Amino acid sequence: MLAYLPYIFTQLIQPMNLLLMVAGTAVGIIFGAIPGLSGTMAVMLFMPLTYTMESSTAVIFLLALWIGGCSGAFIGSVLLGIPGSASAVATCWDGHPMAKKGQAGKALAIGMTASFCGTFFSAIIGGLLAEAVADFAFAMGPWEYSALCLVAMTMVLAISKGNMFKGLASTCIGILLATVGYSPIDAEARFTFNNMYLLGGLGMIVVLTGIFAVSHILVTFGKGFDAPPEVSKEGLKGFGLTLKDIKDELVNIIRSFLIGLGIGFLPGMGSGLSNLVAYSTAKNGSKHPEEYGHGAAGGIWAPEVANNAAIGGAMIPMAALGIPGDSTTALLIGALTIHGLEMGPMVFKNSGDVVYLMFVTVAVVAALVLLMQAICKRWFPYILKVPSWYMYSALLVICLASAYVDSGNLYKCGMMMVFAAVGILMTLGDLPASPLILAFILTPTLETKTLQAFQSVPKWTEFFTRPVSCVLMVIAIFCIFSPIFKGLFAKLKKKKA
Amino acid sequence: MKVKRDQITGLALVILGIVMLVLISQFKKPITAEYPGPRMMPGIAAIGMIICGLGIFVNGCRQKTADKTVITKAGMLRVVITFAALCLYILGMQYLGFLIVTPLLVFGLAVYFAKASHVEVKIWVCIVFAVAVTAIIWAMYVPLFGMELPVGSLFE
Repeated sequence: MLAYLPYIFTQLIQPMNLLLMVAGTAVGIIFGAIPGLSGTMAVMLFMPLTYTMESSTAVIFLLALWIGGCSGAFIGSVLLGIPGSASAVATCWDGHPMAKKGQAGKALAIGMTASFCGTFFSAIIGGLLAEAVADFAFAMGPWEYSALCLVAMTMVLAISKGNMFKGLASTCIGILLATVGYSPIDAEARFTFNNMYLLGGLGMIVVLTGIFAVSHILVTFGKGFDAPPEVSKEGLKGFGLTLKDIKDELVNIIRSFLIGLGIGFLPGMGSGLSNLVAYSTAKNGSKHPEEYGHGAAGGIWAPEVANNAAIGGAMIPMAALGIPGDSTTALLIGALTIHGLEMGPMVFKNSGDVVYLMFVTVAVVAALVLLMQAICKRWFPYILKVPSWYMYSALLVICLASAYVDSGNLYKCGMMMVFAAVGILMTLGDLPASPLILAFILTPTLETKTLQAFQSVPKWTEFFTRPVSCVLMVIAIFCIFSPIFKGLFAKLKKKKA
Repeated sequence: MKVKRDQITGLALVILGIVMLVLISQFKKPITAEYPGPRMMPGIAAIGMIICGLGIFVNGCRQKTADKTVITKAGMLRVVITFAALCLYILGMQYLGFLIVTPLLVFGLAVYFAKASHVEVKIWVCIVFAVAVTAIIWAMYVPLFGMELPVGSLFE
C-alpha cells in the first residue's frame, strides 16, 4: 500500500478532484438528511456524470456522495424524528427525544462524531484487510464464487421484512431483468424481441433509477407530500460535545464499531441492519437501559457508529471479492466496471492504486464530512425545509437526463418510464426493493461463474463436494428458509414457556 | 368476498412466471445436466416467480384482516397524470430538445405538486425556479462534463 501513497496524494490534491469531493460530500449530506432521499439515490442519479471522468476522479466523486449520504442520514432522525434512510432508524429513538429536550446541538454533535469514528476507522481497517481477503479469494474457483454470489443474494432475504416469498419474488424479478440481452459464454439473445436496444442488456441506470428513484417520487406524490416541517433551532450553536462525553461512551463506541464492521462485511447485509443490532446491544449492555428511548446519548452513539462502520466493512468484500456488502456497494461495483475496474481478487494486481485510493478517500471524506457538518450545523433545519414540490420536480428531470446521458438516446428514457411503472406496481404489491438491486447486479457474475464451473467439471454435485462451496451453499439454503426456521423456533419457545 | 392485494400480486407473479417459461422454451441452446447454458438463470427465476406467486396467493387467501390502502384513488390519479406528463416530456425532447421542454415540465410539475399539496405558490417563483433548474442541469452535463442532452430533431 505504501508504494501507492504518492499516487493517492497527487490524486487527492488535484483541484478538480478536491472540488468534486467537496461538492459530492455536500450533495450526499443533503440527500442523506432529507427523508425519502438517500446516499444510494445520490450515487444512482449522479453516476452518469462520471462517465467522462478519469477513473480516480469518478471514484472520489461517487464515494463522497455515498459517505456524505450515510453520514447525513442522522440529521432527519434527530431534528424530525424521521430517519433520512434505513441506516438511521435506531437513531430516531433517542436522537429526537434528546432534541425535544432542547439538546439538539448535542444530539447532532454525537451523530457527527459517531459517523466520523465509524467511517474513518472502518476505512483504515478495510484498507489493511482487503488485500489479505483478496489473497485468500485467489484460492476460490468458479464453484466457490457462484456459491458466494448466491449467499450474497439470499442473505438479504433472511432480513427481509414480511414473508420470504416477497423477498424471493423480488430477487427473481432482478434475475430476470439481468438476463435480458446476450447471454454470457453462449452469446444467445434472450428476451430481446429483435430489438437492437435490448441486445446489450437493460442497463443499470435505466432499471435502477426507474424502479427506485422515479417510482419512489411518483408514489410519494401519490401518497401526498408532507408540508415543510417546523424544526427547532434551539441549542444549535457551538460544537456541543466534550471529550468526557466520548470517554463515557468508549466501550459502547468500540462495541458498536465492531458490530458495524462485522455486519458490513457480510455479503448482502449493511448499515440498515447494523444500526438496529448495535442499538439493542447498547441498550442491553447499559447500566441505565431505562434511559434508552428518552434521549440517552448511548442510543445515538451506538447506531451512528455502527451504520458508518458498515461502510469500511462493506468495502472489503466489494474490493476483494467483487461481492457487494449492500445495495450502494452493488451500485458502486457497476459504476466502477464502467470505468474498467473489475472488482475482485485481481483488482489489487491490476489497479491496486485506485483500490487503495478508494479506502483513503473514504477516510478523508469522513473527516471532510465532520468539518462541513460542524460548520453548517446551524443550517441543518433549512435543509429539511426544502419544499417537496420544488425538490421532486427537479429530481425527476435529473432522473431522465441521467437515462439519456447513460445511453445517448431517448429510447432508454422511455424504458426508464416502463421500469418506473414496474416500481410502482412493486410498491403496490408490497415487494421489497433491496433484493432486486442485489440480484440485478450479481446475476451476470453468478451466471458467468456457474457456466465456467460447468465447463470445467460438468456435475451439479461439485457444489456440495468442495468444502468451501458446500459451506456457502448450506448458508444460502439456510438463508432462503430462515423465515420458516424463525417461525419454528418461535413456536418451540412458546411451547416450552 | 373482497379480493386481497396479495392474491392479485401472487396471481400476477404466477402469470408472469409462466409467460417467461414459454419464452425461455424458445431459446435455441437446450439445458442439460452437463451444461445448463443460457436457460439456467431465467429458468430458475421464472420457476421461482411461480412458486413465490403461489405462496403469496395462498398467504393472501389466509389473510383475515383488510388490506391497508397504499395510495388512494385520488392519489393514483395524481401518479397517472405525472407519469403521463413525463412521457410527454420525453416525446417533447425528441422534437424540441431539452432546453425548451425542461422549463415547461419543471414549471408545470412544481405548480401541480404544490396545488395537489394545497399550497399556494407564486407563479414568478416557479418560473425562475424552472429556468434555473434547466440552466444548472444543462451547465452541469454539457459544458462542465462534456456530455450531450437532446437538441430536438426540429433544430438538428
